[in-house]
Formats: sequence, structure tokens, C-alpha cells
Amino acid sequence: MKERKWISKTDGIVLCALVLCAAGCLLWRAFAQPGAVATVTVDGETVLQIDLQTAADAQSYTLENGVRLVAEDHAVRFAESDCPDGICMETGAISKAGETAACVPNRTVVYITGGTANDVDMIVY
Amino acid sequence: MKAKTYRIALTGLLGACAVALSYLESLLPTAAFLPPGAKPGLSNLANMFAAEVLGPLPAFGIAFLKAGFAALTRGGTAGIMSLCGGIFSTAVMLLLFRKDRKLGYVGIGVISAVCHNLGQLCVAAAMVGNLSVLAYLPALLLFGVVAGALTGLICRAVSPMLRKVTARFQIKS
Repeated sequence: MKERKWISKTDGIVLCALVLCAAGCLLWRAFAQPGAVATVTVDGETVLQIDLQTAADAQSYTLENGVRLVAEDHAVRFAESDCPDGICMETGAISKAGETAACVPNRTVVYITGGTANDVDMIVY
Repeated sequence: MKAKTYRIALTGLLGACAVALSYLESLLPTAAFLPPGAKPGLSNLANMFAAEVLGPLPAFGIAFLKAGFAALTRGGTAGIMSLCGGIFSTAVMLLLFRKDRKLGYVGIGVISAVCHNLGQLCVAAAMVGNLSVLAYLPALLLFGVVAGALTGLICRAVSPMLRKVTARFQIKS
């Protein structure tokens, strides 16, 4: 049996394919338009939509699960969450269409879309 | 069977190494240009060696051990994500080490790292009930390629020494 190489030609092909794929996606996203609406979902249900075009001053939203979001400068970020790793807060502010910030332990996702806000301004339980 | 006992002991040792490596990684500062939550996944070294030399049971055992450690230290959500990523990537490693002859260590490391990320992301999407988290995928792919290549290289580098241990105690997969 031939011994396995450190790195082979096939490895190179796989590597290039993956890097090209990922770089393409990232590049495409880098030129994305600034988004208009931030949609917040908890457990897959939309609980809040924030119009980012009007969100110039810092505005704070506290969700039922204790997560606090702050919208300012046409961007939105996780400001407070009781999750153990705090990945959602590390993500920082997002503002471009297609960008996402998620807090998996709290089942909360914020994503930005380009369109205008629906007639639903805020759903309160 | 003495060899069997040795094999179990070695699996435990590798599992402990994996846990220690995960802990060391958690001490690393997070850089701004990296996707949030991304870690080099050096503990996959233990899985990779187990998948290559020891066989399926030890490899999956280590994946379970790592998930248990993640659940204890970083909460249940992290545990489930670690478990699904770990099982998926370990299964792919086992398959590649057995069936494939063209890939090198770097290739297997990269593919399994990417599978680990993919598994985790799919679970995350299922848990939050929203596919938009898949937007992390490109950044995680890119990071997985780098981390996986590193894991593959280190695995190849330390493999001869670990093989000496398995040969000394007549451990077979």
C-alpha cells in the first residue's frame, strides 16, 4: 500500500475550489447594497422589524427572551444577551442586505433585507 | 485481550488531549477579521489520528467526549453544535482514510474541517428556525480551509510518533 502524501494534487484542486467558492461569495457580498430593514426572528417567528433608514439615533429594543438590540447609524447589533459565548455580540453591527447576526442559544436571528418594511412594524406578544 | 485494553486507554488519552486543545483554543483572542465564533479546531487532530489509526469506535468516542466537554463548559447549545459537527466530520474522515487514495493529509484535514463547520451551521439553522444563518458559510469555508490544512499537516507530523505507541502495544483498528 502506498503511503499517503502530506499534500497531493487532488488536495490542491479541492483547496482551490473551496477558496474560490468562498471568496466569490464574500466578494459578491462586499458590494451588497446597504439594507433597508432589519428583521428579528425568535424560534423562526418574526418578532420585530426595524426600519434602518430612519434609525439614525441609538434606539434600543429588548426582546421577550432578554436579548437587547441596538439600532444606530443605519445598522443594528446585539447589545446584550445572556448566552454563554457571546458570539452574537462579537458579530458587531450589521447594515448590508444579506448580512446576518445570530444568537443560537437564544434562538434569535437578525438579518437585513433590501426591501422596505412591511406593514408590520412591531409584533408584541 | 490486552491490546483491546490498551486501545481503550489510548482513546481516553486522545480524548483528554482533544479536550485540552479545545480549552487552549478558547483562550485565544478573537480577531476582527475572523468570522465570529470561528476556532482553529485543533482538537480535530485527535479525531483525525483516531480515524486514521484506531478505527470508528475510538474516533466517534472522542467526538462524543468533545461534545460533552463543550456542553459542560459552554452550554447545551454549544454541545449539540459540537456533537453534530464532530460526528459529521469524523464520519467523513473515516470514509476518506479508508476509501480514498488520492487525497493527502491536507486534503482530508480541509474536507473534514469544512464538514465540521457545515454540520454545525445546519444545526444552528435548525435551532434558530431560520436559514439566514447560512450567510456565515462563505467565511466559515475560508477559515475551515486554513484551519483544516493546518490540522492535516500537524496530524501527518505527529502521526509517526503516535504510531510507535500503537505498534508498541500491538493496537490495531
